[in-house]
Amino acid sequence: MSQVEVRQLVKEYKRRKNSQKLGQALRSMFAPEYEALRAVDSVDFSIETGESVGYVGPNGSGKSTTIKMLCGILKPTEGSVRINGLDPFKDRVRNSKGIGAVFGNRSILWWDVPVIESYRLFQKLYEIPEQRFQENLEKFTEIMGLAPLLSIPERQLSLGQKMRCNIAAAFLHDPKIVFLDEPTIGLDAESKAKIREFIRHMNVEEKTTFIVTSHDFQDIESLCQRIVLINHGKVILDDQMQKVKLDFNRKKQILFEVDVNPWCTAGTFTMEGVQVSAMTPHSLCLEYDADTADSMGMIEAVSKRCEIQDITITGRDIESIIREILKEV
Amino acid sequence: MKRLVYYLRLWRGYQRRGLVEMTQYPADTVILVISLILREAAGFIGVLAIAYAAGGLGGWGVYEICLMFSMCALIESLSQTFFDNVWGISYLVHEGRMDVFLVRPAPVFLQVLGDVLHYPALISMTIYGGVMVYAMVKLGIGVDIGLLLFLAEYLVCGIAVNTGIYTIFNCLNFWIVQGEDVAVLVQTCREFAKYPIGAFPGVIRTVFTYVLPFGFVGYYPAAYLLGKTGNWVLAGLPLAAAAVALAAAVFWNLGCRAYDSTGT
Repeated sequence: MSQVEVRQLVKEYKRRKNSQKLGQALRSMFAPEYEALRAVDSVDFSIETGESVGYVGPNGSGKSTTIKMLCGILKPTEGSVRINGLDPFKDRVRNSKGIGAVFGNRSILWWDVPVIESYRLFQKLYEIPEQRFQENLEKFTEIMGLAPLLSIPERQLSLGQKMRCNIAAAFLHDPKIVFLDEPTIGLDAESKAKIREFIRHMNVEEKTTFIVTSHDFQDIESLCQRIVLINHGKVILDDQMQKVKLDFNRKKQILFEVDVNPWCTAGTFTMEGVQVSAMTPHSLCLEYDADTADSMGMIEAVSKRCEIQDITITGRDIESIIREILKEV
Repeated sequence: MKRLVYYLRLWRGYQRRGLVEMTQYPADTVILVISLILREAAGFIGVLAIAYAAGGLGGWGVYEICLMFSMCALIESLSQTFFDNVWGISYLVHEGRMDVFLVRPAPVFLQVLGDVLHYPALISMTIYGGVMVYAMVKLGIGVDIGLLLFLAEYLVCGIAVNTGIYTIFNCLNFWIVQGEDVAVLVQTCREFAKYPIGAFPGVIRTVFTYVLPFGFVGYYPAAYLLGKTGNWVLAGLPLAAAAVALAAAVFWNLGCRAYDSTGT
């Protein structure tokens, strides 16, 4: 059996219908009308031990709701969830010993006592043996540079420092699986890098499974082997990161910097399988399909009309791939 | 048994956190103590003035009223110290903070209580404890083992009734947005319970005995100590406490099931 099994998962919210008309609004005080809102709609997936999964989608697509059902915070309307063989909602206490959770916009620490005091309380909450606690604390402190932060109350830490302390807290009890809901939201590059390094370390060395939601595709690209894309509550893509990139990365871009762009004043650049995606008097950007068009041919065609000063060829990153998939559906 | 040891250890952990927190804010601590003492004293002084002028209230003398007031204040300050965060349920629910508690392997109610501890309230407890002893001396109530046992029973049951009722009404926040208003209404009602309930019409007496049994927080136990009512109070206290605690547990569990977090 897989570590995480999600079958036909549905979450419906009841939302009160609000009327613009005052008369109807007054009537609805006594006889409210509700409409059902499907935040998560028949979602299926399984995750094996040690996997790292990026769970992505636009705002309001049902990511956080799914994560909350996996953590046991919300009760599914229909369908089932199994984490390490347990139902997270019915078996909340037992399940929560084996999982860790980080919410990017919500601290899991106590904000007005020194961080180490929060960690001590975590030790009691999860009944972590003293030796294991010390080992973990030492290791996390080293990887994320927490040493100077431990004696400071959380309220006096910067956002990046706060997040590092939060993430360490979620791993203290050696969870088998960790849910990270937007762990790097609003952080600077250095904090992001440290957090990514830590998560990667835990995934590779400790075989901790993790599911991360993020709008930062660098997070997803650098951390996850697998990507699950959700939109309007439905899974529309579930595949290995490498495969997604190969499948969708046939399209490439080539950027020429030239002395004078002749197509800017007269005519258009035409070649089979090639589109002009941007143009200035000194540059030309072409998008082409790697299967049908030939980059050497393009370079030749351009160099006949003007002097090329620089050439850059780029494949598309996962972010623009996702954007395109979402547009197609 | 193992569970119980775990709860006790955890509770000690929360207490430690509460004490550390208190040391972080010395000024707040002082202000809290003053406000707690004043809050109870304000009502106290008003009633005492009336009692002095009228030579008593509903058949109760000045020291008898003192005794009842200080007993009420004792319960209130102990509830303030350890159980005040039932008033935080509104914030926890509407801000979605409950998410954090729900992913930890401990009872959520314990975590809610542990989150806010007001140790300074123990100072106001000491002061009202002093008032109680003074009133007892003036009234000639002798200390014996029976009295101590009764006081122990009273403290446990009184806190259960007080906190239980607050919990029930604060749990309304799980379903409605402005549930806190209802709970404040209930706390205002509790002010009635500081007066000799016998002085009120029958309807109010019934409400504070059977519906919102605040009568067991001050009036009935004090009446028992003063020999104004019979031994039924010894059984009435735990019965009222158990009934309220049970109702609170039901409301809490239903509320947790209805919790649907917030969008993020």
